[in-house]
Amino acid sequence: MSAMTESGQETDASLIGAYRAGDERAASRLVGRHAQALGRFLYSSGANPGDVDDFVQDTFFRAFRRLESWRGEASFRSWLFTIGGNVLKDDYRRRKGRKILSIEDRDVADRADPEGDLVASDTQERLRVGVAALPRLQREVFLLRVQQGTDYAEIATVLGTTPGAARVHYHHAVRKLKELIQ
Amino acid sequence: MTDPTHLSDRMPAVAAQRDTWSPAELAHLAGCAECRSEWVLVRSGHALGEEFRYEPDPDAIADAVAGRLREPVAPVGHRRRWWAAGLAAASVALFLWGGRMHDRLPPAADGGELHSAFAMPELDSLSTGELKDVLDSFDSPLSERRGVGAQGLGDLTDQELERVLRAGGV
Repeated sequence: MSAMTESGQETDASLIGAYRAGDERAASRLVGRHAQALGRFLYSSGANPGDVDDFVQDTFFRAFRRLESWRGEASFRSWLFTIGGNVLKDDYRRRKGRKILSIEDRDVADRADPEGDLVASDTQERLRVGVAALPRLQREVFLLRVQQGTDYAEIATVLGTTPGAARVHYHHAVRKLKELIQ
Repeated sequence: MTDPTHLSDRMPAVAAQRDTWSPAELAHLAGCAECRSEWVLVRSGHALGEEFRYEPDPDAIADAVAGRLREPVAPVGHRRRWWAAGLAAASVALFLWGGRMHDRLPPAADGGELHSAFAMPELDSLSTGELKDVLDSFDSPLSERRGVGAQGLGDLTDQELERVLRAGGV
């Protein structure tokens, strides 16, 4: 397996290999490469903005603790997102099912909101609440598809399902979310 | 004619501006409300979370993770061992009870027809062709199915998927 991508960057596999060989700077580079996308995935899944940094750290902790279980069948990022989903699930159970979001709950950080952006902002907030309310498989399939462009075969690998089932989950999610934003 | 399934598959790439719509695809989107609404959703989903200003410190996160990995692993507590043993016993009991329940299922009627204990009235309204689609989607033996869904669904078009979903009462 090549250690470099077409653009000359080290691959995730080579960084993981370097980390396992004792190069802790490789861990920083891996975190730097994926943390922002992971944070956005967790936020889009319904995480409280104030908790995202902790969730990102928890996700990387779990990932680094069992790096040997990532065998490269799917991208490291997709595998990381699945672990992030587990972190959210565990947090939800700890909170004993208390709702983190409601349609009126404005968890988005305060910012200037010109009138011209109000409608779009409201739609995005409704979509975020809707995505957070989806069953986990539908939510993760939807976000992996529309935010990362992950294909169904890879989604099936990381989520432990089949490409056909992943496609069904995606269409379930689309049907439910369409009603929210129309 | 533009295939809606193919269009749906291309939406994430176009939303990410890694690809563009062909003139035929644009014409289809202009004329198909269902595809258009999905395209609006995919674009919104792609933009979801962009307003969230998260600027992580990779070195701080990596250092914190390294510190946690160096902590000694706590031994499994006495209570957790008993909990695990109880769960194993419950699993065995459930397995044995399930076997006894299977023995109590009604025998096949005369003539060799199996009397189903589970009615599926939602299938009664399907046409022959629709029923065939449903049955074809469950072709693979149960022992070969993996994960949550049946194999073969990946070959279905969106319309066929819709029929399968309706047949399942969802």
